[in-house]
Amino acid sequence: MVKKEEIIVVKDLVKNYKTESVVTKVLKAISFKIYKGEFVGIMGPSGSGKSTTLHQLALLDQPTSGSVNIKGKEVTKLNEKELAFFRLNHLGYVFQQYRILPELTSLENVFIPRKATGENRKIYINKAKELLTRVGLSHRYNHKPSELSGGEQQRVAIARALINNPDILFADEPTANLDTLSSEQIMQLFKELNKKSNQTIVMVSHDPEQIKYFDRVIKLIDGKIKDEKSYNKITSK
Amino acid sequence: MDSSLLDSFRVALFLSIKNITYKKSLFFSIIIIIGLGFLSMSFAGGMISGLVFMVEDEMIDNGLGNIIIEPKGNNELIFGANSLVNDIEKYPGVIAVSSRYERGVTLIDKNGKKLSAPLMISDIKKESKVSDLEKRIVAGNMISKGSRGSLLLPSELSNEHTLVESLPSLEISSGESISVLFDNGVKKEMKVEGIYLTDLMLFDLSLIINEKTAKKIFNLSDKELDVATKIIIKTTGRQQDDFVRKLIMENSVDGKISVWEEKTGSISEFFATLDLISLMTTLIGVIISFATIFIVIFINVSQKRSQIGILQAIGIEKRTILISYMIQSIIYGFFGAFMGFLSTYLIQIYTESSPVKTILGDLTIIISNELYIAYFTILLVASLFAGYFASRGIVKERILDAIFRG
Ligand SMILES: Nc1ncnc2c1ncn2[C@@H]1O[C@H](COP(=O)(O)OP(=O)(O)OP(=O)(O)O)[C@@H](O)[C@H]1O
Ligand SMILES: [Mg+2]
Repeated sequence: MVKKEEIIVVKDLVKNYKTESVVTKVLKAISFKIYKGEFVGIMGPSGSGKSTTLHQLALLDQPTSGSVNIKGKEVTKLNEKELAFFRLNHLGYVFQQYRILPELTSLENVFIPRKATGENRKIYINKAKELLTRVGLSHRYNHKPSELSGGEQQRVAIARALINNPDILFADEPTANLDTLSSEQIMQLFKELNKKSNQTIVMVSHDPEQIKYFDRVIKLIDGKIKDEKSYNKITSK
Repeated sequence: MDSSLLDSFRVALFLSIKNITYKKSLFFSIIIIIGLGFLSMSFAGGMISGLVFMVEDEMIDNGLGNIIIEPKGNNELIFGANSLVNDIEKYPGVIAVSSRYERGVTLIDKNGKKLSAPLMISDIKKESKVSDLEKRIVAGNMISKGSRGSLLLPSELSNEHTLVESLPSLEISSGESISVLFDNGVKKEMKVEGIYLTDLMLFDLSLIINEKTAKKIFNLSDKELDVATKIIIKTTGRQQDDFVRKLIMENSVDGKISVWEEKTGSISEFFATLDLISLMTTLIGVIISFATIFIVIFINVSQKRSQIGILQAIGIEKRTILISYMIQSIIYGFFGAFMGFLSTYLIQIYTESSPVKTILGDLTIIISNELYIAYFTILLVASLFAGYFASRGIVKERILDAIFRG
């Protein structure tokens, strides 16, 4: 057995929202670890703090207190520029509402983060095409988002999240806006990425049907972790 | 570090072009608005410059002349005026030269009303070339070089007066006679041969007689009449004035040489006021343009809030996004200013080919190249500032707020 490699270590993570007089305590000192190659689901009732947790891990927000360590780096201490650099090079993020840019074609949407690394044009275009092919959109390179279905747009968003070979792929209810068939396809795609490329994925879901895809589920209830379960054994690779 | 700035710039440029070309109608609306800003900055000023230019031209053509030679120091007269006139006539850039010998008279009309006026003795032929005198006869006839005992009366002193009702005038029309009391004591009944229009009464309220008549009245020899109180030179154009003036100076002419600008008197204060008004309208135009550009770009950027958040979420630096919106603003500014320049310039060309007719002459819009460049630069800089300040606030926002509340 190969020792599991820790990729995210969260300790006593607290997130409060202050609005004028009231303080809303959303995350109440949660601690957990995520290992390399895992496909982890974050689940729980609405308002339990799933998205908030993901935002802290994906460096889209600053926690009130506690520590988040990614690949051995204490990311809560990074400044704005370092955060942007870290997001660009190590993390990928897929939103519920696709959030790809309407002005750009599929191909352009996908290669933008790679272009931002200063990569050579030929390489980022090939890489983007390769990824679009991988998500089943080889015939949609030059389509604008308005010319794509929801499921197709979400696949463009996934390809974009993967363009810089992220260490971790985050997704917040990526199938919530899709019909059953498209949802299935997206979940299959995630599973395949996880299995074939050993892609670490952390995904928020409220659909019990999707539990079967996850290696492990972190269940949040009212800002605390409840009965963490491992559904599938983490296969050592 | 340098290469990363270059990367930022490359991505920013890419995003700006995509943003601009995505909504072409928005692009055209914005550049039209900025173009109108250009027009609002330049138009009133151009009108005022044109007005001033027109009045100046009118003054030059109506007797002020381009270059004026006057007696120097304590001298009251310029001697050897005729040969001087003949010399200067031959200079390049000179159209006509006239010498004027000015004295004073008192006019008495048939009701016994008296009025003092300057008297101008001049070679009528030459004077007519310098001051368009012949064209300005509104009643009766021009006096000729050889006629004797007749005079030209300025319209404002006669029944023909038009411009200023309150100015004292006499009960006299062309063809009638009037008593003239000269400053040497001679009193004479003279025929008013013609009446000339004084567009700009600031200048010529003079009674005009020819040299032949003067010689008789003042009992002067040819030599005694070869004097002038003023020599007026008309050049081929204002831009020649300094050149001609230099030529005259180099030929050591004994007199004080001025160009018309130094002789406009109280009207130049009025022009200064106009310049101030022109500057103010330009400044107001600048402020309005700046505000418009700011609002337009601010609204445009505000609509992109969510997009700005997403770009940051996927790892694009704030700097890159800021540069991208500044590039967009500069592009709007450039094309807007160009639109404005083009339309203003076309209006300028149009007024040059078919000027607005006014009582003082043809009015055209005048905007110098320097001013065009200045307006253009102002709009570009304004766009850049507007782009920076409009996007800075949104780029500074929390990423999540930008994405989910945008
Ligand atoms: N910016 C904010 N200001 C104040 N309160 C907030 C803010 N964002 C989230 N919250 C609160 O934090 C709590 C957790 O929100 P979160 O979005 O993490 O829930 P969730 O588990 O993702 O729910 P859902 O399943 O509905 O997406 C909610 O009660 C929400 O109202
Ligand atoms: Mg949520």
